[in-house]
Amino acid sequence: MMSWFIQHGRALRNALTRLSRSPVGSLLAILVIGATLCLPVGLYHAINEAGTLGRSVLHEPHITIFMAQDADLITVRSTWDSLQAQRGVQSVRYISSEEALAEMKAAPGLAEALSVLDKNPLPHTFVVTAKSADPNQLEALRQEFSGWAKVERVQLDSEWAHRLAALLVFGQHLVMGVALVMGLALWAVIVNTVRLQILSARDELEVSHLMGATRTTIRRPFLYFGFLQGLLGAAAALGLATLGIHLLNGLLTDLTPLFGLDFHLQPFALKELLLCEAITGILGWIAAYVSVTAYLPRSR
Amino acid sequence: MIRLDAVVKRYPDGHEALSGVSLDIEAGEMVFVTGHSGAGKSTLLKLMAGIERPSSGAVLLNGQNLRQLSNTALARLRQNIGLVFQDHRLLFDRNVWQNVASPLTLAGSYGDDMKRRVGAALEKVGLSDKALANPVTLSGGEQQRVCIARAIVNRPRLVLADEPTGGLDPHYARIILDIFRSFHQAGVTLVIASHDEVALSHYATRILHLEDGRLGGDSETNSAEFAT
Ligand SMILES: Nc1ncnc2c1ncn2[C@@H]1O[C@H](COP(=O)(O)OP(=O)(O)OP(=O)(O)O)[C@@H](O)[C@H]1O
Ligand SMILES: [Mg+2]
Repeated sequence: MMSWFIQHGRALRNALTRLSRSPVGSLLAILVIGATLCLPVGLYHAINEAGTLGRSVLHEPHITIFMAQDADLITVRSTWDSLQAQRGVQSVRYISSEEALAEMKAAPGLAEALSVLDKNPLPHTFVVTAKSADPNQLEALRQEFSGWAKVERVQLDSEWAHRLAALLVFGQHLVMGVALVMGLALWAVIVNTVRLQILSARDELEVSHLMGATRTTIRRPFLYFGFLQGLLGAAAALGLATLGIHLLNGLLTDLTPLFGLDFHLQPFALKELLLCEAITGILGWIAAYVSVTAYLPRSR
Repeated sequence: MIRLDAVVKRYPDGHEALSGVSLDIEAGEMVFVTGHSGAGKSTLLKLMAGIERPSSGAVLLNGQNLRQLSNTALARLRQNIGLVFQDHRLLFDRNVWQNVASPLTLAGSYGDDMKRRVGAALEKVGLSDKALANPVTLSGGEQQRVCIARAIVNRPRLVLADEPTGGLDPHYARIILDIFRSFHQAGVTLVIASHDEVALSHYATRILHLEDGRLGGDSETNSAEFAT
């Protein structure tokens, strides 16, 4: 057991020596890995975050009912009563056309525009919260409300959330595709750096072989080398992506209030960091294994 | 301990370095291999170490046919052989101490045990003060002694030495040969390729004479009894 630790400790130290012996080359390789991986890692994170936002919207199934301009208060009152009696409705909020206008006038810039109108263009509105978020039930409610007297338009507010969800699924596929291509690039980088290491260690490998080093022993430092490159590359990727998130959040601060949203990308969670490191480390290990198998001189 | 049975070694370029060599070396023997340049001495030692494989015939070590061993088993076997190479095979990216220690790292030795063994081996060849030097800065004879220290550091049961005194002055040649003889007296088996007349006349108990890849003579001498 002790000797197992010593063997691996030596292999690790050997790998670290190899990395530090050509610092510029190592740094460049790590940067290439980092730059390649930062796109899929960042995209994956952003899509996950958007998904969280989308789901929180999805969980509040709203239906907005716009009454016709000529709907009188009696009709509005009876619509209110019908809504209260409707099965599947959780709660109803009534926004009169006056309230809506007042709300709009409070928004800067719009006040002057609205003041030139001699008549309130806004309809009376009901915002209905349904009991169920099930799209079919929401659609049934929409159909029902559309048939009522003096109802101009019924809008499912969760519709755009559904579109967002569909978009997110597309985004996830995109990330997988990008990750696959970038993983291939990472693979090539590590296979190649390990190959160069093997070439430059020709003498050492030959002497080790003569001294009776088994193939496993000779291979081990190179596996650690690939593994370390994967780990450091992933760290670089996460660093770059974090920087990207920071910059993006700066933009979002200016942008999101315009849409009435408060949306910021969270930094990477520990779980994400560890997952990324583990996947890339293992990938580096496997790439090194393939490279060593291909390029380590065969014994006679 | 070592048995060669009608061994032929043909190199990939078609040159036949050994043509049907059969011999037996008992455990504990100290055997010198001599012969003109190109006679096949180095080839013979490489076959015994499993570094080269015979084109036909069999090489047996401790009754095991090397051909039947896996690469891993062959490697492990080699860990227990002390090898002195004609061309030194030192690594110039590390110091003398680390070169000498390399067989020990394979054997799983570490720490104080390792320091003690490397220190003892360097002292035996008279290079204690060069432990931290890079071998590239050493003279040819010093490099040779580093190579010998590396071969004996693991206290192998079998030493295969290719021209161990080739680059040494008589003083150090004698020191090295004395080390080998002390190994012999401790029961270690040694096969030494050498041109060295002094070595052959004063230290050899058995001389294998190679001539163009054939065994031209196998003589027992008793010179070792008289050597001082
Ligand atoms: N790897 C090789 N490929 C082709 N031919 C080789 C190889 N190694 C040795 N030979 C040839 O085999 C023959 C025997 O070589 P070997 O090295 O065994 O001789 P030697 O007795 O050790 O000579 P020396 O005293 O010069 O060291 C020589 O003719 C040599 O050219
Ligand atoms: Mg030779």
